[in-house]
Amino acid sequence: MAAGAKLGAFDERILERRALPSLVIRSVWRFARTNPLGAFGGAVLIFMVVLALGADWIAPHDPLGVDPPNQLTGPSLTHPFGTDNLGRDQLSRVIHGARPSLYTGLITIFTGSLLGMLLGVISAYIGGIFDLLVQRIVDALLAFPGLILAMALIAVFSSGIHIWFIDMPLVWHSIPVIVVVVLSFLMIPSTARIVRGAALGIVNLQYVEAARVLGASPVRLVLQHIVPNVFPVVIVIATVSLGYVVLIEASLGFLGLGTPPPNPSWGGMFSGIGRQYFETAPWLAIFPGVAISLAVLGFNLFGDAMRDVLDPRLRQ
Amino acid sequence: MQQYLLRRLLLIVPTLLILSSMVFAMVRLMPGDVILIQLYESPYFRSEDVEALREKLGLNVPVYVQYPEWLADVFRGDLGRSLWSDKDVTGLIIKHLPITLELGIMAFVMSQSLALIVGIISATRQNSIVDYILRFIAISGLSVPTFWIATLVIVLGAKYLGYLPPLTYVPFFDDPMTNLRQFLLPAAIIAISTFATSVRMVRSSVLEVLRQDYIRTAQAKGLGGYTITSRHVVKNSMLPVVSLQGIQLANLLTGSLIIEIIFNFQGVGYLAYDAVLKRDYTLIQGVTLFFGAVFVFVNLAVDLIYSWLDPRIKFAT
Repeated sequence: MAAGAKLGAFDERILERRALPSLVIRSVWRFARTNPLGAFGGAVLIFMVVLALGADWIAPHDPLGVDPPNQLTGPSLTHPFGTDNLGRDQLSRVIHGARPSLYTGLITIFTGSLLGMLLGVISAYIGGIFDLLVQRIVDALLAFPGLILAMALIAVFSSGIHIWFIDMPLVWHSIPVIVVVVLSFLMIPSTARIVRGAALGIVNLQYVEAARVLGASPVRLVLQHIVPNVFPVVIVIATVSLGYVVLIEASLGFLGLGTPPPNPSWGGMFSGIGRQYFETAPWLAIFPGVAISLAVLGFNLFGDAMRDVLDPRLRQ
Repeated sequence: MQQYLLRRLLLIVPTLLILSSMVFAMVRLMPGDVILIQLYESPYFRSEDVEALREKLGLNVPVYVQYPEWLADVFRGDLGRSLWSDKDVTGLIIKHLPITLELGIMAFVMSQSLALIVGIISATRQNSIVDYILRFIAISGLSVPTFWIATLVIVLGAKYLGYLPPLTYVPFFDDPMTNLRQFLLPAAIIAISTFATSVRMVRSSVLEVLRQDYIRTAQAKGLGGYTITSRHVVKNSMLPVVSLQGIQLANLLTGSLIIEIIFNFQGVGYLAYDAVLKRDYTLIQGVTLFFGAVFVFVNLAVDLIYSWLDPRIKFAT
């Protein structure tokens, strides 16, 4: 008995050690082969994460380092993307600019889709008047144009006042905090709407009923039995939204409502005084735009591929 | 039909009420005091102005008294006065609306007509090289930021193409040609992302229909590809496209903000941006409410058209 158990555990460990890495490699390889564009998107995502995390080591110059003699020089070997009106190295600024975009995007889709999922699942689980009310609120929130509502909320929140009891910093480790809060909030209604639809089909299934009969608490029912079944939908929403969130973040940066200068951000490079140098130094306008477009394209391709893999109903 | 109409109309009432209370709350429940923020930033700040302004804006009574009064004003079309310029907010919106409307409608027509053609071509040649190229163009259109394209057009356009953004707006009925020349390019830039979204929808919707049995029957009957596409596929695949188009029209009517700013078009989006920069809270409130209401009503219209196009909707629960 004891020996058998030991042997079994030993076998399993061998299997695990052998199977897991090769399984991961094989499934990644299969994903790349059946979905080359999605794999490209995934590669862009990984590249961006590396760029953002390692910006301090990868960037050849200090992104804030002013160098007046070298202002507005075109692309060269020392400054491949040229320099801006203060002589700052554009390549380093583009690399560091990945941080606000990527961090905002990732934190936003994480919190936004998590909160939206909980709201959607709870709304479907409780049902009745509560559900009706939540859905009307979702209707109302969806009616506002995203960018305008984000702009208005940021204007309201960034009036330089303590928010509740927290003294919220405008930027925390190059993350525009208010933008993250507002965009996460904006993600809740659409996520909740879709998740609710998916959860409605699950709450009345027999196994949920069985769990309820067995005496499972509502919290356990929701977290243990319903949430895991809507999870693929949530993953799809999150990955598909990533590109959109990064785009909105850049647009807010362009409007001067994102990461404040001198901190580099992709959208921010298009706002403020920098704009008037675009005509004489077009590289200032080209490279950050290419960076945004490439990143968002990668995220969109990755999101599409994830949807194809995880949501068979939408597969074509 | 009447029952459906009634239910759909009734559903709008709570949505609009919640919408309005959110807009109302946004400015009033914000941390800090709107009046103080507003006055601190104005150059002629006197302490006795605080109470005067509070009274003028009706902020000196409890919230539960303010809301019904404010709502009644809104229903009469009175959105209050701008904190900055003291102009009537409704009047400001009406004054700035034609530009946004024209931009939105032009972008809508351009993007949708092109999306229809491209989407059908892409779907009927599924997985061919043409399909791949068109799909790549579509997803690129979703990924390229509007403000970047517009900036490039202005910067490089001025340098190489001789295009200059207009300094003053020429109404369509004064001089149609000049007006069109002013609007065509900005509207085309706005159309890019709308086009991209629509193409993807048209494509997947057409593919859905192509898999139906009646298409196979038509092929078995020996009908040509063109006849099948034009007679059977297009009509049946348009239903989901119409509902997306409604959302897009609403988005276009409210979402030309960035283009309006870059091309210096004084539309409603520009008004909203300006209000945000100046912290003009009554104006922000008015414009946000206006946009929300536009969206709700365009959606209502789309739902009604939808139920007319597809009678099955009316009988569904």
